[in-house]
Amino acid sequence: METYLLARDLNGVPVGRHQFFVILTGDSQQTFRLSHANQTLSSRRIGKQYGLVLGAQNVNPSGSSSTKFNRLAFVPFERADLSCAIEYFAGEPSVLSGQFGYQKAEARRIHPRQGYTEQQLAQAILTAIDFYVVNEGSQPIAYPPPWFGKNSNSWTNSILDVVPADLPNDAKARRKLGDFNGADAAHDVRIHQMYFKGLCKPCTVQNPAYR
Amino acid sequence: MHSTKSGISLIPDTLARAVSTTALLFVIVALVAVLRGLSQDISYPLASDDWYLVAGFLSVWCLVPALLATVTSAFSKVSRSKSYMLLGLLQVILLYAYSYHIAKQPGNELSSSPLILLVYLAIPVAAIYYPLFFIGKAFSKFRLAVVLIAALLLTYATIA
Repeated sequence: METYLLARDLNGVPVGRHQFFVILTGDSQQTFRLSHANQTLSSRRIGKQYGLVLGAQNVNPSGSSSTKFNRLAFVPFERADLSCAIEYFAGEPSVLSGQFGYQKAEARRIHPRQGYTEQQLAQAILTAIDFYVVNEGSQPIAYPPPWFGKNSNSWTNSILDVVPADLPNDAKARRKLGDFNGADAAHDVRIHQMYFKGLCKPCTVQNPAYR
Repeated sequence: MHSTKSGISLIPDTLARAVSTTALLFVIVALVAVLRGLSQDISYPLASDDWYLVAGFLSVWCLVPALLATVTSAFSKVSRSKSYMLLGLLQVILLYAYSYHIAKQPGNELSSSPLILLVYLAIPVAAIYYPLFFIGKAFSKFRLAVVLIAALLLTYATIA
């Protein structure tokens, strides 16, 4: 397995970058269970290998939702994420490639910390996401105007902080790892770790000002 | 007010205003980034390309109607303020139309983009930009100081 942090252009907009994870799982399809969230993820073909595409999105409140604000929700295999992952790993033009000022996706390989395997790192990311789905469901995170709160870039970097990833100890170097070229707003903002480390009751409200 | 400056003196005057007002916008955006950093426990809030990309985009956006208004008033009888208001209004209408077009596309991420902030703030930003650009002397100690501060901030951001 190999874990990557990718950044792509926003869909339809010439300004802004969105970060997400790609976990390459090998030559055959594999299935992963998010037991708390009651979700099953099956790896899909990304170039020559199969992989998982994991990101958070700005999701409108649905009719049945109790919230009135947009939420920062986990969305696996989001169309533009998957397409840009395929572009990065297989070279096929993405669905965004025709838009004005398009910059191809950038990626950074995330290695496991010493003493951990690639599988353990990938599993830790999935476990963190599993907890996030449940916790965000019980205490939704409002998606604020860009640059003024927590977004998908905060989500990826918050996960990196709680999994056994080999990250630089120096604060500046750590920040640079999560800062891609372009305006990837809020990559330096963090969601409270309790959202990823277990089932929190109650979870701390995030972005209260935007509710 | 119709500009009575000669064409030759208008060039350095406008250039000085453009550079200093752009620098002022960079300083203002940097200040917002620092305040945001303080409120969200971000260390090194200016050691990223995010703030100066936003400042650069905003500067170009604001500069276009100001420059066109300067040229229009120099070569016609339309006053500078009137041409700025008309061009600013046209620019905002085009922005709204473009944003509406993007918002209609399936899967668009307009609401996650910094562009949405400009959609919200285009009119107040244009109103604030006019006095910053046109009022006061083109060459002043204040404008020079702002250019130096912006240069220092950009140097820090690129080195950090």
